[in-house]
Formats: sequence, structure tokens, C-alpha cells
Amino acid sequence: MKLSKKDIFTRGIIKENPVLVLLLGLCPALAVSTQAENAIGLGLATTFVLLGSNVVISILRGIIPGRTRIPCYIVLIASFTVLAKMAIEAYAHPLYQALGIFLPLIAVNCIIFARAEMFASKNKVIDSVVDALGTGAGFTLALLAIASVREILGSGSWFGMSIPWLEHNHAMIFTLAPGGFIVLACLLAVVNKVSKERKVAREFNCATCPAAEACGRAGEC
Amino acid sequence: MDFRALIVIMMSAVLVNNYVLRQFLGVCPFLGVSRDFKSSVGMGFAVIFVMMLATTVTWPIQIFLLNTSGLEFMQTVVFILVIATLVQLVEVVLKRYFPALFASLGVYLPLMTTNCAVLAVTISNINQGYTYAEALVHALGAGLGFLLAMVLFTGVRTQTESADPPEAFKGIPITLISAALLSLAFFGFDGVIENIFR
Amino acid sequence: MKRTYVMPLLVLTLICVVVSVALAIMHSITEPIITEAAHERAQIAMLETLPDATGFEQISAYDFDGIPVSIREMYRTSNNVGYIFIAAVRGFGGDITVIAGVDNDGRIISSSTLSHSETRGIGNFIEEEWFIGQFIGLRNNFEDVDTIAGATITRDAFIHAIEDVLIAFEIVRG
Repeated sequence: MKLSKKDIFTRGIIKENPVLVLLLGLCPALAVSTQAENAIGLGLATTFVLLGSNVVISILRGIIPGRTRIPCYIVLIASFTVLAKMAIEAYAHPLYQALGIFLPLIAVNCIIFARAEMFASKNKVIDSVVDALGTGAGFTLALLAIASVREILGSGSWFGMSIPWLEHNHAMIFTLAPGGFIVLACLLAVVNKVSKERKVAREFNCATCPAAEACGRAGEC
Repeated sequence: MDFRALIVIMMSAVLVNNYVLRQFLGVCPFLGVSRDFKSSVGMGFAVIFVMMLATTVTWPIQIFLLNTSGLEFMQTVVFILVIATLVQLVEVVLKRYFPALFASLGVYLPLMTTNCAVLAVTISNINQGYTYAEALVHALGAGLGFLLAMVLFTGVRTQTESADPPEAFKGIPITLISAALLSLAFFGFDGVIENIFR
Repeated sequence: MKRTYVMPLLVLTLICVVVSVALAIMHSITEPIITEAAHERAQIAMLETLPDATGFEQISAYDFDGIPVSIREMYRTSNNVGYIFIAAVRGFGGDITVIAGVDNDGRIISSSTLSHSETRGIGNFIEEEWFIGQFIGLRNNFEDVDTIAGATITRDAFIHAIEDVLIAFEIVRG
């Protein structure tokens, strides 16, 4: 089955949206989504790491041996994360402080690992670039959606601009941990409702687990 | 050594700053492996074990190797590699010498490499400037907090499984709503620690 | 048989080496920028703390005996209007870094929290004016400093920082 570039790109945003459909990368999606600005920041940083790792892994796909591919991917992904971290610390310090520990944790974001294992290691460089951009855009948009709801309801502002009335009548719970869970749950329910055939993965299992192939114990977990 | 500081770090990691319910670290395994009691306990103990082990190794590496040679920027890469290697080693050792333990924990070990809670523990140990003892206590507390959240949540989930939510909320959405309520309940612990030693 | 082990390890090692070099180069580029930016932020924070000062000279803690360990940096002002101290104390969630300006009589002119990781909604009052404003003009007796219910560790940590600052002031002024 050959997909066109456009299909590869839009697949990452809609049909296989990493957060809202595949339920990957939930930790950063919940933790950093209290403000729309931070959500965009983390989304772009993750897209950069995804792009870097996809390109390099795709170029090296004939060289990286099957047996040690997992450590190779880990090292490559972690390095791009550190590159992004250093750049953000130097040029966007407020964002660096806002993202905190979730910036180095991009290195263990399972979305990136999943794209490396399932796409970049089997496809041409150009396709991998498109795949990374699509998946990255999907992740960023999902984060932006969660963050917009949380910032508007929880802080009464959007991208730092205050909203009349809500500014003084915001519900702080949406900026706290329970609000994150609730907003994500409602967004997933909306996705469930809107898309009749493309249901959200109902449960976590090996079919949805990106590490299934690497895990070598498919079916047990 | 300040015993009080250790207790505060421990209680804070277990109850107040619970990794899953307050800081969103380790949400994937929390939602994925909490369907029955046996697997959530297994996962919980595997996390405690790996967090402690990872801290035991990464703290000295940071303090005595990276910091002294000006290679602090390699932290993330080195820590991930160390955790991945440790997990592999533990798997081999358990399989060969402790088959019974391997049967109950082994399944969850490969998931540890990409578990953000483990990496987060090792990094925040350094960021917070903990001593070796404090770091180990923090790792133990974070792991225990994870286990506590897992076990409690399994109880909640067995109830929601038999409930009948609206069609769109079936599955993961209603699970997340339950998680939100549990997280809300943990807000009740705020202030507990600050008043322990009054 | 041997080859199947050598090649994978060789590739992994090569990747690690290349990656380390790349990171080292990036580090050498960003490091000066990060240090410079941190220095600038510190200058701005110091000017906000002692607006009358025309310049700051760092004082080394090694030149004095008995400076509390929490004191990270000390500055005297070029036009001799007071001193600036930066102290880091252990709070509830991690270190709290406090900057405080002291006039020549040992009164707190102003103080503020540079960084902290206290619980949002409970411990972050140490950033707020109503709390830090209470210290202005004080030299001792912090028992009456108000806080919100259930946040005593955070409050005590902040007061501890201010007390250390005043101890350091006495020593530095001689």
C-alpha cells in the first residue's frame, strides 16, 4: 500500500492523531497544557526532535543493525532532545522555565519512538520528513486544543490575553491536575462522537502500544 | 543527617506531589496496566525497583562524573542509556536467578525504558539538589506514590467497568474522568506535610 | 558468528561518538549565551531590589567568616546605598531562591522570590506583594509575618532566608 505525501501528512493530524486517537504522549499533553503558549512551545520542540530523529533514522536505516536498533534510536532521540533543550534555554528562557522537566522528557515521548520504529526505519527520507511534520502538527494541535480549553476556563485568558468576564470568573480547577484529566476526557468523548468509524483506541493494549514490537512479549501485557 | 527532611521528602512524593495524580508523570502505564489488581501491584513494584536502582546509579554518575568534567549537558542522554542498560541487566539477572520474581515483574520491565516517571525521578533528584540519601528516599517515595495511585485506581476502575456511561464516554474517557476524581481527592493531602512537625 | 556481535556494537559506538561531538559543539555555542542572559536577568533583579544603586560589585564569601551557607551571592553597591544578597533555602517542594536588598542600617528595603517550586495555589504566595511587602523596613522579629493557612514550611523557609541575609549583612558590614 503506497500512500501519497498528502495522505502521510494528514494521517498524522486526523486519522492517527497521536494524542486524541492513538492516546500516545499523554503525560506531556496533560502537564504542559495549562497555557496555550506553552503548549505550542512544547509542540514545536517535540516536532523538531521528531523531525531530526525521523530524518537520521531514515538515512541510517540500512546501517543500523536490527539487534541494537533500540539503543541507537534512544541515543539519537535523546540527543535531538538535548539540542532542542540547549537552544530553548539560550534563546527562549521563559519557555524553558515554563516547560521545566518536560523538556528533557521529550526524549521518552513514546510518539517519537513509535514513529522511528514504525515509519522512519522502513521508509525514504522525504516520506519520513512528511510523516514527522504531520505527526508533529497533530501533536501540537491536540495540545493547543487541550490548552485552549484549560486556559480559557481556568485562567480566563487565551495566549495571555484576558477575556472579559471570564477573567474574574475563572475556575482554577482547570489549571490543576484534575482539570487536565477532565478536559482530555471530554475531548476524547467529542472525537468518539464525531468520528463514527475511526473510534479512539478503546483501551490500552499491545495493539496500540508503540513498544510492542520492541517489547517482544506481544500479547502478554 | 536531618531525619525530618527525609520524612518530608518521602511524604511529599507519596501524597502531595504524587507523580501520576499531581504531576502527570507515568500516565500511560497508570491507565494501561491498572485493569486488575495483580498487574497493577506488579507494575507498581517494578517501578519502585527501577526508580531506586536508577537513582542509585545515576546520582553518583552526575555528581562524580558529569559535574566534575563539565559534561552536565550530556545528562539526559547518559541517564536514558543508563536506565535502558539497567533494565536489560535486571531482566537477564531476574530471568536466570529469580524466575519466580521474573514471572511477576518481568513483563513490565521493558516498559520502564520509555516510562517518563523513571527518567523524571533521576533528573529531578539532581535539579532539586538532593543528597544521596535524600535522592534515594525521593525515588522510593515517588515509586510508592505510583503504587498507591495504581492500587487505588484499580479499585475505582473495577467499578466503572460495570457502570453504563454515555456511549461517547465508554472506555478511556470515563477512565480519565475517574482519574480526575482520584486526583481531586489527593488535593485533600495539601497542607498535611507542612503541619506534620508543628 | 563473531561479526554479528561486532558490527552492531561498532555502529552503536559510532553513533554515540558522533552524537557527543555534535552536542559538545552545540553546548559551546549556547553556553555563553545562557550565562550572559542569566547575568542580565540578575542585573535587572538587583536594580529592581535597590533602584537607587548605580552599580554592583560582587563580594566573595571566602573573605569573611561565618557567612550562612544559604547565602549564594553578595553585592555591595558602588554609590554605597546598601547591599544585595541572594539566598537559597530548602522549601517545601525544593529550593527557594530569594533576593533581598538591605540598607546601611540593616533594614530590608525590598525582597522577592527569584525561583521556587512550591505548590501552585498554596505556596506561591511568596511571589506576591502582600507577603513580601511585610518585610519592608524590618530588621528582626518576623514572628508576626502573616501567611495563608497550612503553608508554614514555605513561610518559615522564606523567613529563614531573610534572617540569613541579615546575619550576612552584619558580618559583611563589619
